[in-house]
Amino acid sequence: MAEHKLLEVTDLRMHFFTRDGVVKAVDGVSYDLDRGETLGVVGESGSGKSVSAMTLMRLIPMPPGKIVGGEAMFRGNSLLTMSDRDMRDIRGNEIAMIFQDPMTSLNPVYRIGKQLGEPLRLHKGMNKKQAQERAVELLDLVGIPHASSRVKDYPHQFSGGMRQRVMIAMALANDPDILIADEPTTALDVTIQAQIIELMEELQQRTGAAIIMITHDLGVVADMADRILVMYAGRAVEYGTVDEVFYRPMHPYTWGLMDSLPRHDMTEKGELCPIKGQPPSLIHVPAGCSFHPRCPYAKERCRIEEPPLRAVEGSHLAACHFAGDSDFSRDELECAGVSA
Amino acid sequence: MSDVTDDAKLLSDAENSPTTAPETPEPLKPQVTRTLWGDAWYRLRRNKLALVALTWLLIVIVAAVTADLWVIPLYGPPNYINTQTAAADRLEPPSIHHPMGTDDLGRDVFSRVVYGARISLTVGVAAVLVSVVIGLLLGALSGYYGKFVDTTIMRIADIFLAFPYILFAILLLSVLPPSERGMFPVIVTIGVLGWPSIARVFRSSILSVKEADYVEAGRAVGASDARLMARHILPNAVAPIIVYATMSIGGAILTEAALSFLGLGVQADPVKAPNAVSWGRMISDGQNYLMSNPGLIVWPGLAILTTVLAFTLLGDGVRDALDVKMKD
Amino acid sequence: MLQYIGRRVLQFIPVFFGVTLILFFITTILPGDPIKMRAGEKSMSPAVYQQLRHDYGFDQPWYKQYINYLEALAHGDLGTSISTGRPVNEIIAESYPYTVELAFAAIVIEIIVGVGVGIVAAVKRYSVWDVMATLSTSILVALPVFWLGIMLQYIFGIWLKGATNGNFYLPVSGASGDGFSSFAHLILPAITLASVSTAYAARIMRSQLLEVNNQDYIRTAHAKGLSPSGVLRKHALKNALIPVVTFIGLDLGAMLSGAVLTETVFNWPGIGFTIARAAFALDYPVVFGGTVIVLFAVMFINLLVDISYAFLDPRIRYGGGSAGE
Repeated sequence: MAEHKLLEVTDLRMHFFTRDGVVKAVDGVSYDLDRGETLGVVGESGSGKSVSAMTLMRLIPMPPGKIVGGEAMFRGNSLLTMSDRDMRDIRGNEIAMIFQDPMTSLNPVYRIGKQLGEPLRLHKGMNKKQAQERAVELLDLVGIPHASSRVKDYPHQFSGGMRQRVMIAMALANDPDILIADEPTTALDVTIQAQIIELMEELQQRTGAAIIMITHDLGVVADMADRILVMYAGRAVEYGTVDEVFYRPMHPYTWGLMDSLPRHDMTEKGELCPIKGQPPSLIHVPAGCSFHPRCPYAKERCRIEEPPLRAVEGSHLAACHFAGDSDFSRDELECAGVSA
Repeated sequence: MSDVTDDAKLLSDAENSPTTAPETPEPLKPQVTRTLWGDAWYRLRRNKLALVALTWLLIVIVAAVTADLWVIPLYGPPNYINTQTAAADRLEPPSIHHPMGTDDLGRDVFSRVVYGARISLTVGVAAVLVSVVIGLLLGALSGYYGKFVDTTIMRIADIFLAFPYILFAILLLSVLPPSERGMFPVIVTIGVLGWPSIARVFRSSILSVKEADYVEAGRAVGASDARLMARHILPNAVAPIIVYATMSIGGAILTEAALSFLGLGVQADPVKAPNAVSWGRMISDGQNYLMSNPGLIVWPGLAILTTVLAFTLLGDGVRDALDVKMKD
Repeated sequence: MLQYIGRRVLQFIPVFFGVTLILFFITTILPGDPIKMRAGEKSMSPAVYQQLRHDYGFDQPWYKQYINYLEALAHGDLGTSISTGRPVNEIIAESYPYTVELAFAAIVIEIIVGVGVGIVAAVKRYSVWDVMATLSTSILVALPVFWLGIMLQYIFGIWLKGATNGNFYLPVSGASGDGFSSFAHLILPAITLASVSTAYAARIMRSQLLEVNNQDYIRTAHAKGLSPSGVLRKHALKNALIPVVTFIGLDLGAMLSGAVLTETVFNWPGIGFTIARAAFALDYPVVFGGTVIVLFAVMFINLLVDISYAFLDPRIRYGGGSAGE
């Protein structure tokens, strides 16, 4: 029997069926995750990166959502077809998730200790006292001073950064195999961001958990990730190791992303290079390659045929018809950007 | 003091209205340049329930206004007792001659219901107008000038609000001798009871608009207080008032009916108001005949119910159309 | 939090004085003369008239009358009824318990039905239950309460009696003193009184629950692996109920102010009925005394509700801001 990867996602598709049309929020996402590995999922707002993670956790209301294709295997078991009961056993236990806005992610009327203890009591059957003790340990673990007295406080008595630490503690309470972090630093100050990232890396070392880090910040991903998945309009367009994607990107969208990063080591002033155009509406996704209206290299074929996510170089995948062709390369741009 | 429940009530009305659609993005339509009001009218037209309500109200209003032309010739005046036929005609069930039957004095019930609409609508709208005028004025002063003026006015509002509603109305009206009672005191009473809520809503509207950038900009250019108030603050703060006022009309009608039921409301006066009939009074008179002719009570009750419901639904529709978020 | 309570109590005082002052004004600028009314048709000798005026203190300037009244109030003396000559205290003590009984019965209905319907409507949003709930609450809110009462009297008192050959019906008038019979008398008035409030309570509960369900912390609760009912019970309801509880509390206050309409329709001998009747008879001591007591009760309950809100919401109870990083 082949050794199962921790998580295998294959061509996952999840659509929302609304009055105004079908929103193809997730339309072809594939990746693997090994123990202890960190996957960075990057893309613009609306690219479907958060929604695809929520789909894995089955946190999407169905209706109006519906899984229309693909598979997600966790340790050989299908996350998409298992019973609700089994799914609940996994949530907060073997797979945990933290969210973007720490200010609103905690219940304002319960003390921190009680909320921290909830996953412990739910999945590990601890009683109130045990859970409370463990909660104090967890607070300590994530670097909250005076943990034993803070555990009795209410969320509004914590700052944003501290609340995010609490969220991390809550997620790690049951030693999950996978931690999904949905834009965990976006709502925080830059200095706090660095602290949180550091904390997550440290805890990952300690616990050996795999992390799926969803973010639109390429800098965060460059630091933390082992592999990167680039998403556009609900589809995975590039997938590879962090070196592959950063130094040898294959997909025009990834090129555009890299080019749009402001550089701080320029010697002369120049203009920034945004990608022209807007991301498409997920109800009216362009035919063929979803990126073609904005792609400077688009050909006739791109308008008609949807490019599959295929291997271009070993395990480096890209969803472009011309990726890897010898004569297909990035143009030099006049504006400031990462050089090819 | 009860701000939380006021907000909760208003929000609950927004959430609970049958006309509020679940949230879906607007379909992409070419955007024609429209005014704020034109836009609102367009949205209102799309709201089916509100349109039904509006239609019903228009029917009622037209029927009431033109009553003299068609009701009297067909069914007889509402208060006129034909002494010769009264005994024979009394307490009849519905028929072609009398669509809703007759009451204990031989009077046609349908005619009474239509004329009752006049009273209810007049009192409803007039009373709310009184509340709005007082409420806008005081609310504006309170919101704009703040500090001492604000505290005093709000304290007075609290005093008015502390009175149990019906009890206060009864007190005010019972002080008047029966000869003085009629539509005017009722309008004044209900109007006076209603101003604190309007003042509060308007005040909070003003408070949120006052700090807005475009007002600062106006001030920076040297506009006077009054000008700022009229040109900038008022138009924006007025939308919630329109919604609240529309819905209040329903409440005013209910109160008028209650006061008439208790005998404190509109009376028929052979000289000054020969056709004055109140639905509430009809219900109270009909109580004696509950066993034999419940219709005497059912018809006016339904009239009240449908009219108030129509105003409420219309208010919901107006709120959705103006896209007023009544929650702070 | 003490600050919060203190402020509320402080607001209470000027309002109380303002209210009693207004009340007093209403009853002193009266065109009608209560003593003449008591005399009725019989003419009264001027001497007797003056004597009565003096006895009741009507011959003094208004501000003095007001002060006298406040003094008496402070001593717990509410004067004597002009119509019946009985002490106002007695009249109030007799009728208030009936109002309290009715109010509590109505509140129980409001809590069970209102909160229950609201929860079901929110949990099963857009379903048949939800639509029915929304429609029926919209209608209830537009109904005249007294009309509902009369309709209930008809259906359960008259029609039901006829339909069951006089065997089964509910009493529709008055309140009797003893045990079960008293309960039967309570049913229809309580339902009537509760109707509009229950509709509002259901709407508020529903909208609060819907709003809470959109909050991020509910998503967190699901992500922890809680079952949907667990999320509802432990996280959603606790937050959503706060404004609902406040509303019901204030409603209790309003009901304790004497539900005049309901009490009139059902001949329920509560304080609302008593005050209304006294107002018609221009029996001012009763009106004034009754209203003052009622006002006091209502304002007191409002104060309690305000304070309880501080306890229910930890953000107010422990106002303290966040500690540093």
